[in-house]
Amino acid sequence: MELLLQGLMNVLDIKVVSILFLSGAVGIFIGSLPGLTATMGVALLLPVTFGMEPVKGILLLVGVYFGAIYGGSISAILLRTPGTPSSAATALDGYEMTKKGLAYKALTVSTLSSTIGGILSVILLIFIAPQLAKFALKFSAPETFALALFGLAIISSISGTSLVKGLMAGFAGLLIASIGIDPIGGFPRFTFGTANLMGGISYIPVLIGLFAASEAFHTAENVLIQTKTVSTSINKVKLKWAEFKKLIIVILRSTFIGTFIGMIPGAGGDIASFVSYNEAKRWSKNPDEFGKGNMEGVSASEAANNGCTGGAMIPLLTLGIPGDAVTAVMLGALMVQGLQPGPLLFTNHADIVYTLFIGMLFANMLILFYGMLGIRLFVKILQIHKAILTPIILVLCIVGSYALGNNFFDVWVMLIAGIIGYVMNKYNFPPSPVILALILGPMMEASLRRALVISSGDVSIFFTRPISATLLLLAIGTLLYPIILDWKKTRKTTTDAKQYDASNID
Amino acid sequence: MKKANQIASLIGIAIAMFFFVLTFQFKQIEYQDTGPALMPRLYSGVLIVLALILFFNSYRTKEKVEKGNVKMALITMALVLTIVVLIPIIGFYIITPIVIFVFLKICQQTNKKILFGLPIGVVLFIFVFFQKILSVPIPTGIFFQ
Repeated sequence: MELLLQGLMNVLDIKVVSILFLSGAVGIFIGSLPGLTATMGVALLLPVTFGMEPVKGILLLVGVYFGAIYGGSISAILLRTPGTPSSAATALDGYEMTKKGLAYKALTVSTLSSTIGGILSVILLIFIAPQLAKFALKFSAPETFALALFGLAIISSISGTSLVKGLMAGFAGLLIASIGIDPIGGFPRFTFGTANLMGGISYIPVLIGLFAASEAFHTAENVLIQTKTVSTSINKVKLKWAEFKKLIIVILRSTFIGTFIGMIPGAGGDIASFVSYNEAKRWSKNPDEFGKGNMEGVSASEAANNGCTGGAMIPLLTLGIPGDAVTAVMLGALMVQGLQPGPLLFTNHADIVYTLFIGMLFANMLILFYGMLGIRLFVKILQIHKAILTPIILVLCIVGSYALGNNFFDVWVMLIAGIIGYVMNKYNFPPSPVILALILGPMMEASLRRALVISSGDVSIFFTRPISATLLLLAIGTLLYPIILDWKKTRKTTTDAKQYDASNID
Repeated sequence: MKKANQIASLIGIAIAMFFFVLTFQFKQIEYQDTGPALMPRLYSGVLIVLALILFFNSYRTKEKVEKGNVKMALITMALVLTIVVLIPIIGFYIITPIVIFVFLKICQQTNKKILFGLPIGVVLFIFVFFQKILSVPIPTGIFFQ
């Protein structure tokens, strides 16, 4: 409690409040623009935080992250184009409401649900994270290795349409991660005598390239196409108290679903919003109205995706495991600030952690502020042409990667990563596994080799320790689950096709 | 996508082989099983296996390549490359507004406020925020040092 009060005092600093106000607006701006994701926003603003104090820098990114997740709903509701993947489910009913002239009401439902979802998920984070961190303090080299492997196993869940491609991207990332000084023996690997490669390839320019520059190249493809026009005048049909009361249960249920899914590494806001949307439909008295402009659909999706933000912070802060691309960038941001996420963060930097918690609550409250006051302004954002945004993003990518260490080599790394990322996106290779591998690869190698030195090369050390064995089992399960699911789906499709052929022959 | 997957798998094998061969130049540690080459060799081996799976799976793939104006993306990459190559020579503050202006012209922007305002606005923001506030020494090129 004392730490929370101290955190509150730290957040009430005028500079911190200003940063939260500004970053929330920037996040909503980025999230509301189709093509600009929360990950891209956080990656793009990461270099801005280098010169800041840890709390201010991280809260700036938190503001952008939370704001962007909420911002995604604006274009989903008004244009039927989700600003971020997390708002895809919002578009289903949100846009139908807009067509009926209820855009203002839909945006109000989205604002309220996002705020409540976000705040409740942070409260859950405050309760769960310290307990999990206490438990994780027992970890030594074998457990750290198992944990890193578990983190890497998430690649199978974030691989999108092709698991093989996701794994290939992950292993290519691991090879890149092995460039530089060997973590145990100090031997330079794949450096070709270049001083720039001695410290390895920094993942920050890589992630700026993969997530921001590649997206900008992708956006440039459609730069000559006129953007969809959106009416700047919105009918002000307000949400009634009686209508809101009916949504409370949906919001609470969706928040818990969102937070729980957010806690599972690999499952992000998009999954959370669709699961909550389905649950809202299943529990609704009018399931047939879903997809035709039902407020419950908007509410479920938005409470869940903002609920997911707090949930995703739990494994990130307590175990140092990023659950998705955006938390991988946040992990990078914490490390740049000298804060190694993991159980020790709670003992060594408890004041900072609790300040972050309070800041997160505040960032969610700002969504309400912006949502209620700025709806008309955000509608205008959607009219900004891509030809204006693309050069701004690319210049920020160049300056941002340079600012990391005032080293031009990082700019080249960013550009190459951007071009590779563009090609990867084009051919369905997910970029997130590369970043996960770059972050977790060195940790996994160092802890594996350290554990093997301790056990004199005996691999049973990983299976005889209960936590390590459990984590390894979880890693294997996480890795194999999508494969089994895919195999079952293929088998069912084949059986159905055979049955269909047989019935046609008959 | 079939051809693209096959090319990707061949590139994957080439990268993995390149790293794998290089690991033989690493020093051997006799008293330790886990030398510097252990993990890169393991990663390369798995990457080769995965690339082979992708190659053989490509014959029955139903994936489709997303269509788009690739030419415009390539032009954008070339413009960024121009900035990156020319920054050390003529400096960030000269090359960047020129390239942004060219990009806007290619995008058929006719609004003069945007055509001139955006390039100047972007470099002004970088100057104030990164150079003055964050003290990032933005390269000014060899002529202005």
